[in-house]
Parts: sequence; structure tokens; C-alpha cells
Amino acid sequence: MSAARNDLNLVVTRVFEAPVGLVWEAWTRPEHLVHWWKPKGFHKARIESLDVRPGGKWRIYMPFDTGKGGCTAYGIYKEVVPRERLSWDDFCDDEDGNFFHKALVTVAFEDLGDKTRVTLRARLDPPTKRDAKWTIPVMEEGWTEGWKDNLEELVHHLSATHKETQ
Amino acid sequence: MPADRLSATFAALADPTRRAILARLARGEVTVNELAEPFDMTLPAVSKHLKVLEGAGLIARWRDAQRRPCRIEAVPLKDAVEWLERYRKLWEDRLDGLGVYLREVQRKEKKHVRRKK
Repeated sequence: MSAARNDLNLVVTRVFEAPVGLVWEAWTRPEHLVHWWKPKGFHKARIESLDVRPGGKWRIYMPFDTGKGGCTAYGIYKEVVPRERLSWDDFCDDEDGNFFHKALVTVAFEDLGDKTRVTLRARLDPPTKRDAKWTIPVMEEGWTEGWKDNLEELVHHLSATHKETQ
Repeated sequence: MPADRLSATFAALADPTRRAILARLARGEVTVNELAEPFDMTLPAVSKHLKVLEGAGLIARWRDAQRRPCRIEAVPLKDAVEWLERYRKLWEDRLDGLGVYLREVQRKEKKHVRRKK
């Protein structure tokens, strides 16, 4: 099985009511990033480095909101084209060396005048047996309720995620 | 959930024929013969794929007199989707946060400009 063939792809698109210059800064400057890089389940992040240039490293500590431990997201910037495109490795693990995910993320910025379209594409590495310490963090229960009992929907969803790679 | 099972699930799902087999099984139980038909595949070729799917716990097979029906197993499928969706949600949450932050920053900026005038 070749790893490249087994990649999984996610795409998320948003339009923000803000000029592209400000949106770009929000992604690339720590004093901005620290205010919004906070998924549910985490406290305010601590930005350890954010060296936004090709080959530059980034590292952000994200404390769990349970107050116990946290995980570190980190990687290396690949492409940095101001106001257009940003890509980086997105790894995440915890203090015990448990992996949460490995991905390659590309964000495209599109200038729409006083608005900006952001398209985020992530090529996710599925867990493999080689990576012995993969963990699947617990999600709030019931968050996929409503459609996860539909088998056709589940298969379709997984197939669509695969298809984009091929 | 053991990560091992998750990796077996994704390895099995990596093949387009196996995904198509699952898509067919999602609509209901069928026999191996019925499965082979639309795929224009020999029975041994279908059996090979079924073995992989069975090994990953994605399907169950049994014997019913002369028939060999198979059925899809929902749990590993749900786990795989949940694992994927968890990552998507991480980004959805962050982008929600970015939207809120951008509104805030621009509001503050406007106030600042007004005060200056």
C-alpha cells in the first residue's frame, strides 16, 4: 500500500468580512494568531515560534481545557506567498509522544475587495501501524449524531474524502 | 479505540473497489455472487477484497445453507469518519475563532479612528 494513495483530503472554505491584508496578518503574526487559534476543548494557546518563511518552524502549545496537560502543534512552513498562499506541515502530539494527527495544510487567500475568501486544504495522513502511539482524543459525545447512523452516508463521506486525492 | 484498528480500517478503505463494495453493502445485505456481478470481477477477486474488509472488521460474512451473505459493520466505519471529522472540526473551530477575531479587530480600529477625528 503506498502512503500517497491512502491520503485523506479535507477542504474548508470561508469568506471573511475583512481585507486580505488583515486576514494574512492574522495567520502570520503571533500577536494576532494567539487570539483565534483556540479550538473547542483547549485553553488559550502559547505560541513558541512562528517563523513564517519557507523552511521556517512553527510551534504552538495548546493546553487542554480540563486543566491537565495539552498538546503541541508544530511543523515547517513550505510555501509563503504573502496575501495569496501559505502551506505547512501540521503535526500534533502530546507530552507522552502520542500522535493526534499528521497533515499537510495549504491555505489560499483570495482578495474579494473588502472581503477575503480563505480555502483551507488538508491532506491528512491516516494512522498507520508504524506510528505506534496514535491516539484518538475523546470528542464531546453526540456531535456527529443525526447522520452517523446512516451507513450510506458514512461510506459516501469516506469515499469522497479519498476521491479528491486520485 | 485501539489505533491499530483505525489503521486497519483506513488501509482497507484506501482501495476504490473496496469502497465501492462497501457502498453496495451499505444499501443492504447481499451474497458474494451478487456482489461480483456489477463489478465485473471474478469470484476469487471479490473474495480477496472481502477478506481484507473482513480482516478490518468492516464486514461480516456467514453461511446460510447454499448462500454466503455479507453485511457491513457500522462501528469501525463510524470510528473512521469520527477521526476525520475531529480534524475537520479543529479547523472549523479555529476559522470560527478567526471570524470573531477579525470582526473585533476591525471594530476596535474604527473606534480608534473615530476618537482621533
